[in-house]
Amino acid sequence: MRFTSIDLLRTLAIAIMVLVHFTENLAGYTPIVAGIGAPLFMFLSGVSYRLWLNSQLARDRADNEISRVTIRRGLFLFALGFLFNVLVWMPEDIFNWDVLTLIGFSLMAMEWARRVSTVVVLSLCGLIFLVSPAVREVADWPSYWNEGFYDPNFSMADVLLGFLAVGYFPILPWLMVPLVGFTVGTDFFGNGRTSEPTERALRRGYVGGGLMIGLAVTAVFIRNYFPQWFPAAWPDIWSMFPPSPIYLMGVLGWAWFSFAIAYRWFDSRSSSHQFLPLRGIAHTFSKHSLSIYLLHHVLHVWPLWIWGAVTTDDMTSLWRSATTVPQAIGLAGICLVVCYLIFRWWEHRQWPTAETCMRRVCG
Amino acid sequence: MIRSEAKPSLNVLDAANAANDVARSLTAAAPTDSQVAGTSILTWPETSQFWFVCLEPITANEPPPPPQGTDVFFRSAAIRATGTPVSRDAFQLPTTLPKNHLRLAVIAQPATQVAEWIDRLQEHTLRCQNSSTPIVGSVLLSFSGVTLLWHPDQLVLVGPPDRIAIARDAALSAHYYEMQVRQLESNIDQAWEQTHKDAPLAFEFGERAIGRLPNLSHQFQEILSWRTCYARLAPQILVPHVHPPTLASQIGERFRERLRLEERLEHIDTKLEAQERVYELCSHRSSEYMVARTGHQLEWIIILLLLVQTVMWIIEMLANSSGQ
Repeated sequence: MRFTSIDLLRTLAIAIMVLVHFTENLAGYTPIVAGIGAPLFMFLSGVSYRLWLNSQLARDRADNEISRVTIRRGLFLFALGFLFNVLVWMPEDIFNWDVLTLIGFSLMAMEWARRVSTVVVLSLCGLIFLVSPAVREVADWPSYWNEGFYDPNFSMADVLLGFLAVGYFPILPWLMVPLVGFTVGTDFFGNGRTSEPTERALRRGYVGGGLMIGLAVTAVFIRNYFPQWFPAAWPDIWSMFPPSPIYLMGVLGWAWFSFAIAYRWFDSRSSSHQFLPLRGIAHTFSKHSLSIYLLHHVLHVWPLWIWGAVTTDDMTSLWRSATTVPQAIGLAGICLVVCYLIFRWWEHRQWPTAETCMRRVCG
Repeated sequence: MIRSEAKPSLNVLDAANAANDVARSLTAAAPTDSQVAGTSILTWPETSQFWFVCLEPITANEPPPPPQGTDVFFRSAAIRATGTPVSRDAFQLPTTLPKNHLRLAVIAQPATQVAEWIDRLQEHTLRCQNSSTPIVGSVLLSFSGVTLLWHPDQLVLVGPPDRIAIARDAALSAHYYEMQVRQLESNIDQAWEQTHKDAPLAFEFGERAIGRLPNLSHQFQEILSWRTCYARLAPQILVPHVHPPTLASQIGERFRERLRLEERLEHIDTKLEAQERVYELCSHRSSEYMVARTGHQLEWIIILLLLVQTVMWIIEMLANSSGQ
């Protein structure tokens, strides 16, 4: 069962990620929307897992079979994350703990989460939220980051620390994002046969998500306009690397709120025959989101490496300085159009994509 | 459902067809069935009176006083019967009456004077018998010059004026209890599907079933309310015959026999027992699960706290051993 709200939000997340990656990697510019795409993508992976789970339960698929497929898919994404790091970035970046390894691990965590009550899952999220700043302090987070990039030593301790606390997307605190998505998905669609969200669940989305956004905005406003109230040594209030508590609250609120609103606008019965072209585009992007995530990196990072290697001795010489900002934005737009066309054609030909490979390998 | 023994005799008619068709035959627009029967006699005698009767249970809350222009037929410890006089045309309209209502036609003249009319009515009914299948059949009774033609929606009484009131009250009272039994049967039969769906929860209750708890609770309460209703009905139906018999007691007894109320009550008891058993087990399973679940949640939270503490310890250890 496909929901246009999920398709649209995932398309939005992909579009933001493509734009941010192009402008950052090609022009060294971080757009204002940076930091809201990846969490939304992770949140939606939790919601989608709930929908997939409900579809399996509705088909009376055996419990151990569901577990097996979930774990396999988690491991597949985890391994794909390593492969992606090696092939797209550099082999020495294999353990930078990007979003794919996080989603792979979170799938395995959701296999546990589906067996326990929502209270337990939310307790874990709360604990992660609370301890993460302390964990970063203990791990000495700044010592692993150099000019805004994760730069660990190739030792077992650093690999584990990167996975737990100091990588790009360590499980502390990022694991809570898909888990919250899973919980919201359960709240919306139930934990059995997928049912239509109740009015109360939607209202919880508007009010809860809105409150979280409001609190985050207020906190940022106070911090920026009354800096004298806070010690100078305090970390940034709105930062993705490392993810500050206010930032996490804000993006989680945004994901929850936007999902509730998008469901109301696009999946309620009254709107089922509106925005059909938009729905078609979103459907394609959402269906191939993993492939597009992989492909857009290949499309802009590989040429960068190749061109750098051809023109100079250093592959990374053009890193963050290959184009101007408008050129990077234009290339991001072209990339999205190309991805759309490629995957429409791919779909028409029924050729395998990353998603279909995952299904074939993992069941 | 039980259907009374509708033998093709003069005493038993399928009044579901008869009463409705009598009413229909009187309307100018649709006399088709009457024409089939070749009856011009199915017109109501001059002395006919018509009511819409409301039968209300008397509970702790006194029912509101009847509106003006309403006749209070009788009021016992358990029931109040009130009738709103209506015209023949209104009586014949094929509208669905509200719950607890009945069409009543009273012909205050000796049944012998309209014997031919009743015979034709029977004949007509037999001809039209296959046109519909009522849930509960109909009854035609004759006692001491009083004739009653009963159907779940309609009662036609023919008799001398001095006996008609007694017969009417007895018939209305009997109708009320039959109506209660019928309602109970209908409710229980409608609940079977849900009972079948809920039955697995009597054996195993899990996280996915928590959303069904309000429904289980509601269904359990419904069954309890049916059991209460049964408990209140049984003493009214399972009563010994009155001696010496009176017209009223005979009507009541004959109604109970013809409509097999005693046997139907036994069946209701059996069905209720089966449904109660399922929901009692569901109730036990769900409450056991919910109690255990609270315990498990606390255990999990403790485990998570320990896990977080362990992770922090590991991170501290790793950070100390790291060369950064």
